[in-house]
Amino acid sequence: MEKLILENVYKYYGDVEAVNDLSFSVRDKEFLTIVGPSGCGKSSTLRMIAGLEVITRGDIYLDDKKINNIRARDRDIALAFETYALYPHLTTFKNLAFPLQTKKMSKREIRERVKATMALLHLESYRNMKPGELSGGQQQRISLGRALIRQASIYLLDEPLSHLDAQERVDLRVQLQRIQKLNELTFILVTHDQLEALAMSDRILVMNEGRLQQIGTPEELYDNPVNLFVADFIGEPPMNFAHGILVAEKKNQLTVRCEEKTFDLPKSITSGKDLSMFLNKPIVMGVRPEYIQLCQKSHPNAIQGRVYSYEDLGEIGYLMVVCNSEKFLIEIESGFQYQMNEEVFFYFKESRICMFSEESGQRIV
Amino acid sequence: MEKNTGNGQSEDLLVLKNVYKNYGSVEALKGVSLVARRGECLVILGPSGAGKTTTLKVIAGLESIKMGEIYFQNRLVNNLEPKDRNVAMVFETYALYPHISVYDNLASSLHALNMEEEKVRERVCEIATMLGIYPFLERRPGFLSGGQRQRVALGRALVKTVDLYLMDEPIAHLDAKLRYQMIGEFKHLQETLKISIIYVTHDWREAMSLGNHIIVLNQGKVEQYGTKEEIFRKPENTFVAQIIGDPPMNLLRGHIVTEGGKSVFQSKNISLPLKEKLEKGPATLGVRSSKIRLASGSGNSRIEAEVYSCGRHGMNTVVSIKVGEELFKTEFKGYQKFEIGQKITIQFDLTDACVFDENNILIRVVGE
Repeated sequence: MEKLILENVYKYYGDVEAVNDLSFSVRDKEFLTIVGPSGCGKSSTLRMIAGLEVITRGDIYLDDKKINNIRARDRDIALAFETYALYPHLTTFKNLAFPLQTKKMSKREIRERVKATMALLHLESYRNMKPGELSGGQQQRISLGRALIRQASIYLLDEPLSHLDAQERVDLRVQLQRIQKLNELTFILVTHDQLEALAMSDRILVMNEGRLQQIGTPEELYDNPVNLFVADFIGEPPMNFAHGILVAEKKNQLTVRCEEKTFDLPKSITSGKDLSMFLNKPIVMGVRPEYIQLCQKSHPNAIQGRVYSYEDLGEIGYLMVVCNSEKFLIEIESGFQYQMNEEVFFYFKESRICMFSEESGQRIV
Repeated sequence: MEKNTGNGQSEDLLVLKNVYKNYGSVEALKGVSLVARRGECLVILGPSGAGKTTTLKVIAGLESIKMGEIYFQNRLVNNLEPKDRNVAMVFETYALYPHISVYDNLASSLHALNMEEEKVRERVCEIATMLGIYPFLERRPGFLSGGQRQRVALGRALVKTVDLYLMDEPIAHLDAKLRYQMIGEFKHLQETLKISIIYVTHDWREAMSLGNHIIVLNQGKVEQYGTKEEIFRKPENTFVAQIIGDPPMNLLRGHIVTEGGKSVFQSKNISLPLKEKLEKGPATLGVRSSKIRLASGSGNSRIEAEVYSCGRHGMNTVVSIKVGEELFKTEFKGYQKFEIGQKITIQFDLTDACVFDENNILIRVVGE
């Protein structure tokens, strides 16, 4: 079932276009993360759903009801923002209890829910302290708790972990996912951190320059990015890119010419596709570091390169090789022995090659 | 690994012996000893407040010390002025002159040495070519990207021929993707030029990538000094064990007991037979996340566990699992779908597991 639907939504701030023709839906009990670089329109989108920004054009539906003209406080939505907006004169306990008091809940029930929320977010020791006495990370956890303690149709979380230290952030990712799944809540989380998105979400929506780039499961985005932007944005270490020209110099064989080297495209990735419109045009091949393998010179798809550097992380290593004027990062087992500038051979795992048109940035195979 | 340092001679370039440094009543360094070898990169790794930057400043001569000795090439330099120590520093902030060109930024540190103009030009061009900033020599820093500016900052230090380069988190503020590229470039440069570097970072990945030797600092004290292999495989205590790796090493608190003449590690819910004979008593077992696996077949030490959470990390699946009240992190290859609360059976591969005593000091690496 669809919980929330955006239909052709636009947002302008004066002449500045923040969100352009955005359509997507969030399913009931789903954890959807909107991810993108700063200025991509992700927060504007969340604020329109929350009712904090006017929608310039388009419609938003929550539980099959159009909410464009419903005031923020009348939408059944819980919010946590990067800025904490806590009551400075209230203790942690009272800040958390506040949203419940307006709901005519018994004191006992309120106490129990606050306690449970404090336990989930490791806030027990700050129970009687006021925001001014707490660190940014602690305040952010209270702000998150204040959103989660409410019962709402949908929860909107804007960079809720941004002020936490690395260890806390990893812990809270786990807690957030558990809260969402165990209570069957619907979450929309906004972040600039693609690792965070991959770690928690059922589906991820990637935005750039106000537009939706791709929406899908973490695996889909990682293995099948629809364009160069998504390919480059998702994944760390990033995807390797090789720039070349698509040519058909051999019979029944498409080739990518990269400077003086050529790379015959495996039939498995080109068969059944009409690529004639891309012939003799610049294209970009993308391969993730995990999908490149070292091999012998005799391997049919061997590409020659030279060792540029190698970093050993204990269990895995990253080998950087130079080929033409481009560098590729290859994930290999740890303990690799090498000489600087030594000749090595490698190949791309066939099924894992992504090809993009350099002009449009769109994926072609 | 040693063969790649290419230095041939493993001469000690810099030695710190038992160095203490106070800021007022605050002890910043409490007996730091280390050795930096010629042609190598020594990484100082630690959390904030560990004393990393202070150590660097003490070496540069920017801070005086309370006690201890600093030797450069066997010569005591405690009282030597910074300018006479023949070191160059690169800081996290670029500290470039915004109003002059990249060329002048690089050349200024050579002009200060009264070098001939022609030699300056030659040296600047050489370094700029190596760092890939040659095309930008006429631009001002404000017109460069973060990564390019970082190279200029690096270049400013590298144009000077000094015995030792001191670098304080030089790439910490670059975005994650650029850091991967810069680490590769940096390592290539260090190994090609065989320069000697002391590199400060809080990031274990940078430390493992760049360091020939690593020194782990914590609260002004050395937790461990060793090759990076030693730091990774034989962490001397649980602090070092947990600072390296993502997710960090799992620690199981329990006891070593003897069953039928054999040593067994026992925690509240888990019992793991060990190959080696160890003394009875309280102990902590350290197991890296990659060594906890889904049980296959019917082997021994199968453990019933519950999925606590599950997410993606690249093409791997990171799963938190719970055995009784004990939580562990594991990383499985490939995409696997787990539901929270799902029951799974796991196995511990204890090869390379670390056994620590009740004071968190390493007793044994299993299988060594």
